[in-house]
Amino acid sequence: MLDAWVAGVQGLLQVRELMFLSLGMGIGLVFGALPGLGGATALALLMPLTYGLEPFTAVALAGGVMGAVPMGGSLTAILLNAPGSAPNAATCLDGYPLAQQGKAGYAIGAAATANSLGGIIGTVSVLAVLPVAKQLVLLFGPPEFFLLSVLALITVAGSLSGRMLRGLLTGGVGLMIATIGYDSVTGTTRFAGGIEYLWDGVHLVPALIGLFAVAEMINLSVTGGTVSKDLRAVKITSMMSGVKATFQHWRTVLRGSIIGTLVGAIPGEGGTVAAFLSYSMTMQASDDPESFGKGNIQGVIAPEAAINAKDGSALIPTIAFGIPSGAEMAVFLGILVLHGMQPGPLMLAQNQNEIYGLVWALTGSCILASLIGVLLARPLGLITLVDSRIFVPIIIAVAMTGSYAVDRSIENPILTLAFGILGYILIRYDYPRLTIVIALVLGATAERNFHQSMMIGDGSWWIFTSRWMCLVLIAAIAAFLILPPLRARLFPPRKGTAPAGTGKA
Amino acid sequence: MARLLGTEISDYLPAATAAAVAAAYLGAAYQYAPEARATPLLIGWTVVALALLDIASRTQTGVGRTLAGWLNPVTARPRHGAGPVAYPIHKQVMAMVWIGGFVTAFALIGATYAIPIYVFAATRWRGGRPYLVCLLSAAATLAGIWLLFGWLLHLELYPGLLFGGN
Repeated sequence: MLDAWVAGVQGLLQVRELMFLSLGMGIGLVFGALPGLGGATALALLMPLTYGLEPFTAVALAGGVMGAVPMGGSLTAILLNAPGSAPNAATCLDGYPLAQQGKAGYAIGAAATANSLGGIIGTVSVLAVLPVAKQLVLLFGPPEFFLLSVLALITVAGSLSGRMLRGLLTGGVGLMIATIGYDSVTGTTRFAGGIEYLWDGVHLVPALIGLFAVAEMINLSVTGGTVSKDLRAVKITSMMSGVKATFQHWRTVLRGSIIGTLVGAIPGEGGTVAAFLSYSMTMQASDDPESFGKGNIQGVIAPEAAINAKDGSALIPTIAFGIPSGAEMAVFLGILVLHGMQPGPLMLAQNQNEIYGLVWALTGSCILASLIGVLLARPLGLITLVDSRIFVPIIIAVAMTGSYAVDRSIENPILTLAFGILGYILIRYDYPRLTIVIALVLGATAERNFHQSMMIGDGSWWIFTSRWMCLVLIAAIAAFLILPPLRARLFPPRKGTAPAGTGKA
Repeated sequence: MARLLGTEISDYLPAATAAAVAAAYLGAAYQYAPEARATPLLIGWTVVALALLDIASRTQTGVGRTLAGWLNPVTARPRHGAGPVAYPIHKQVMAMVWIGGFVTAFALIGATYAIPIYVFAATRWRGGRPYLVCLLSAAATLAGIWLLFGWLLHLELYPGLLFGGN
């Protein structure tokens, strides 16, 4: 195992890999700073670019993006009260009041340090759990993998608080789309409507570019204006005192990181849950809870540590079981599949260099992005003032060119457009896109495992109850179907609260 | 806006569309051999059931409110369905038409011509930006895309159906 760790570091320290890691980090900071875009959109846009790269380089690029996005989001949350992504909304609660009091530098210094420390703790948890995950995955056969796919969809739908039914519905639509094309079990081409392009199924990369990048651009061009309306003449000073404050509040960092690590490993329970849970627990543990929301530095440290610790542990279900924990991980899963890596036991055994390279890339990017974010806080904040009327056509041109470049097929941009329109309709009607993505990613595998299970069980459904792991998974499915509605009845969402779990995705 | 069972008809559209698509999907699925249609039937009927539940949960009836309270509490709030701000439909359609136009141009005349024309046209006539800004945006976008895809990754930019593409 130590060999794989070292090989991962060595692989990452090559000039080409470092270059792409830095490129990913820069893109991650910018996309993280732009509210509404975030890591999933950045990865979807970059996915075609990775096509011409070695798998390790592609993983370094993706790690760079994922590690840097939270820092970009923190900056705009503190400076502009405009969180780059949903989890950063928790940082706004105390970060923005601090900026209004002229202590933006103090808040940014603390956020950057908490980001780095949270990232390191998240990495340690991945390194500890990955060897165990390998043993755990071997307990899974086709029935367990099928039930796990069902569980992933239901967990994610259940985590979209207040929108469980909508999440399940879009998940079902995603599964219908996933059955289009050649069925490897029976050799039949289904639902392709005579279109040769669809014989291979709906191409994942153009679909994801459409659902995230194009849909967001359509939305931005309808809403118009700049992403942020106002950048106050804030002075960014006293960053070192923010760094010092983070170390003084080491318990808050540790608590947030542990919460982030635990929540990150659960599919669907995204950074938003981790950030707000960490924030509220820190507030409850504080001697001065009244000061939260008015500029308490612990209100910045707690969510920031949780968000980055979550990124590390979210890799565990993604890599070990092929179950993405959120939209960003779902798109990242697409990158792995594009490069011939099939998450699960095979990947854990055969792609250790890429896995550990990714873990180091994520950690390195998180630490470096925090440093760069501190240095470039103001220019990064100014990015949000770019006019959408200029920004949208440029991103659309890049997205469509990237979509075509995946396999040089002119049908790809058309598919991207179709999914862009679908994604926009889902945004407007407040239906989640995350379950559709998870269904697209898992659909084919789930169907294959379903058929294999039925073959093993001679056509009997009892195969799904024949082993103890199946029973555990069925119990979990039942629990995740029952608990969210119960929670909704007992703790109804208040007016004006954002859906937790996965933000807009 | 016309209402049905206390809810704007447009609010039923996504779930009704999903149900209609699922019905068509089921119709097609029944044409396949039993093994090939096993999973599609499971998925199709599940989607129909979920869509009907979603439609029922949107009605302002006792059943609807109970369903929404349990399964879709967000929709239990007033003016559910559409986003917080209702944008004019023509504005939304135009945003898609511009991108559709670009994809058509991309397919017909290729990336090298379609990209600068689209970026210039969209920033100038849709965005109302000054000519110089539009020209610079168009040139910078084409240069950036060529550098990234053509030079760095050695990928050929699509030449267009009219210029030998396929």
